[in-house]
Amino acid sequence: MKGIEIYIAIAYVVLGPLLGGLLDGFDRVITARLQGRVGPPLLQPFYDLRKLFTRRIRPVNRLQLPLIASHLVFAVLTGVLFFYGSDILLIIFVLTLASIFLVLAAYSTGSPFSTIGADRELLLMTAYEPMIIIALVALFGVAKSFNFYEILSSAMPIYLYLPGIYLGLVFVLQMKLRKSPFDISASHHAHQELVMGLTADMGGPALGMVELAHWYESVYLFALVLLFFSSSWVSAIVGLSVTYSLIIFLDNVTARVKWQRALSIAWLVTLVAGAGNLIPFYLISRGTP
Amino acid sequence: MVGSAAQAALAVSLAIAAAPSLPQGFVVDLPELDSWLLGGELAMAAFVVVVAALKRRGLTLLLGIAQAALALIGERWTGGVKVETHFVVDQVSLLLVLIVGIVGGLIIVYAGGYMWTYHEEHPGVRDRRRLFSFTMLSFIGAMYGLVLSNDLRLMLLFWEMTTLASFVLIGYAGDEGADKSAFLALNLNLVGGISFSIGIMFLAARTGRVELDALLAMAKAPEAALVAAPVALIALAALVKSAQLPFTPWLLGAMVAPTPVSALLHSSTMVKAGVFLLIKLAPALSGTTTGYLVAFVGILTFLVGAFAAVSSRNAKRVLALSTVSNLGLIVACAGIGTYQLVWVGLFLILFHAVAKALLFISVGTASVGTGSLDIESMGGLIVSMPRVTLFLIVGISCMFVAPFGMLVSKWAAMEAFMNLNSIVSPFMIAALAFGSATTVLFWAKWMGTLIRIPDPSAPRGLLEDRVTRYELNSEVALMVLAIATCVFYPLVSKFAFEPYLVATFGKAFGLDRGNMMITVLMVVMTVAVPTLLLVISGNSKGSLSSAYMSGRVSGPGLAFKGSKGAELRVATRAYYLEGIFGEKRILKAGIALGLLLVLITAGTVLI
Repeated sequence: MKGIEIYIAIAYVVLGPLLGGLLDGFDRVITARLQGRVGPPLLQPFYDLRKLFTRRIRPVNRLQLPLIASHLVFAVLTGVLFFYGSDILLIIFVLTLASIFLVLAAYSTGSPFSTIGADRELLLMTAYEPMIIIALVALFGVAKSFNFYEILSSAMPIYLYLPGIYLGLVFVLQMKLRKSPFDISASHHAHQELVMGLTADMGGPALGMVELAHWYESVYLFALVLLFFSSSWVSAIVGLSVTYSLIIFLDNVTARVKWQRALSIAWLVTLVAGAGNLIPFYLISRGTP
Repeated sequence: MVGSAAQAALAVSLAIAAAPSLPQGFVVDLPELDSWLLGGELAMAAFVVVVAALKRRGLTLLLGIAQAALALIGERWTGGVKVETHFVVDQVSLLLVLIVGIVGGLIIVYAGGYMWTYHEEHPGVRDRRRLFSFTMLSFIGAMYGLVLSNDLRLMLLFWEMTTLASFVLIGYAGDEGADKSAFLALNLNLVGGISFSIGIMFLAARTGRVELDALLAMAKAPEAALVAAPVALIALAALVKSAQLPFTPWLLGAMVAPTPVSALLHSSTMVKAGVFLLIKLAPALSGTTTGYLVAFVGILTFLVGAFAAVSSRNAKRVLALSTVSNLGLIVACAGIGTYQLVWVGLFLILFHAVAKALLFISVGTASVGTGSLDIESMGGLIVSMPRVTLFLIVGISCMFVAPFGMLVSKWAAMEAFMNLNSIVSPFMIAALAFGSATTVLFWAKWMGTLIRIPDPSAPRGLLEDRVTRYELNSEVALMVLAIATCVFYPLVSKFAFEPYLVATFGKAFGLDRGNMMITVLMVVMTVAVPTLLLVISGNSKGSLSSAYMSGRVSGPGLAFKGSKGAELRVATRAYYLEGIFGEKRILKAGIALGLLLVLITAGTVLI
């Protein structure tokens, strides 16, 4: 098995952005249709990225670019470790490291929009992390492993055991994917009150790197969702499509929350859907060794 | 300075000499040992009584008298008890010896520079630097005694010595605030000491033994019921010393002391004595009611400390609350007490000692430069004090970012809690998840404040000219040590902790070798990648653009044109979220809950 994992990890480095960009492209097309617009072509995200990289680099200070590049490096590394079959709990902590580089890049500018965006991003990280950790622990509880492939091949209908945790995870993925109602730190829409917040002072290739990192991240976030539906091909396809549609649907029908409420809402969901699912599951499964 | 170097050399040579064959026991061949012990206890009680009388502190006076009375009464059971080994050197006590010697030594070197500036800035404080150095070194000496003692009467003697030393140091400034904090610390720790001595009395009266190893052996044998009460009483003393809820206020109050004292109390001495003893007691705590109660106190303290730290703007207070939080996690590990959690607890002690010492002394240096302990006044410190900022960033990273030590330990704690076949397991995991997410929030926003650059063209290092050589040397040494512990921790696990666990539990735990290698590689990457990129971009001469100011930029330093063309400047500050994480409210609730848990523990002793 170890041999294949290495190739998947390498394939991820090469093909990850392609997949991530396509996910983004479909998202834009579907969103446009939901809103009764024609929308951009499917490959628009790639055209955007190419354009960003043709621009000249003009950072705001000498710290900004190294921090953004580090963000990209560690976002890719998180995915590589993930698909290499490393401990997924460790990987989530590495993911935090990647996010922190981005937050620091925004803080370094000192500008009001970036700073508030960075503050809010930290708040969101605090909001979603407990749920992700609880989800991984629960996955371990079912599959007795922290290895992506071992959980994948356990072929159990995990969504049936952990429905609350699945819903909680989708809930916090809205934050991680910068979707409404939680696109408070940086939004795909320039009309957000912080003028892109976190990325307000990033332009050209710097913004390109952030976008690229985002594509890399979304690939293994969806791979994480896949773990809940790995019992059969049908359930995998249905589960992923439903999750993807659900995320886009929520993005379109919800209004942005106030930042003050993001944390309490997410923690409440984590306690009710996450811990509320984990504890009974743990009690029941303790009887069966 | 010479004293500091000498004691550190002593610590290292002891470690090298003892390392080949552990554990080693030592006997003190002194017929009058009992009288010496009694004399020591009485002398310390007398000191407390005199100080309390001079400062008119009734409660302290009573506690001092109680301490003396207990020493005299206890003599009936503990005097003349046969002791097989007075001192034991094992891997854990050696770890503490090295931490105390090296980290404590570096803090004393730092104090050499810092105290000089301290007195320059506080002309009202009487210069008692000789007393200061003497007490710092005695503190370290007492810690050596404490961690090496196997005879619990000896341990208690050193235990009380650390209490008195911390009292003298916390009250160094001599003003009202310092006095108040010093007496609070003294009172609470005297209560802990009294609990400790009653515990020893019980132990001696019931079993005729007063040694730690005998206690641990009996805890696993049929006579476990006999030692349950002594274990609970001694654990209570350890909870006080490690500033767990409801006893936390003494450590938060101790902030008034000069920075080197805080660094010493928080990293290598005092609070570490408490968690050290609990880790040692882990086999006796594991699976018992007391053990679970201790673990609940620990995890509660972990959460409360982390939550309260979010809303605090005072740098030393944030550090103190983070210490409280991390100690809570160590206590929780010790209370559950499986071999995996003991491994985690040991690493938390190590990583925390080095990183926290670095953070405290760097904050001390920064506050001399900025003239304030307010975190907001450290905005843009990367420009005004670039070297100190580097130390702070390394220290902060070590506290909360993967792959550095504290986070690796937290991750291991999570896996260990998962392997626990107990109902408490999901609760511990949930608490750990919420607590560590909150930790990210308060550390990262601090880091963000440090690296804010409003004006890239501003001159660098303007505030660094008053930083002394002593301070810089200690900070560089601790920074290197902090990174080195994160890189070489698999070796520490293999050669020190795993043998100890095998000897104590019959089973060893280390993280999976592959995972350890990944974390080490990641440490290297996390240090190397940004550094490399920084060097590359530092050499670039490309022009800079100004930050986005809604198209109204009017000059450097985030100036913009306001209405009628008036030039205004932007000021930003981080979130403190008082509404959610209000410190006072959370601490109050935590103290109430902690008190409840401690009362339950006390209740179980009586039954």
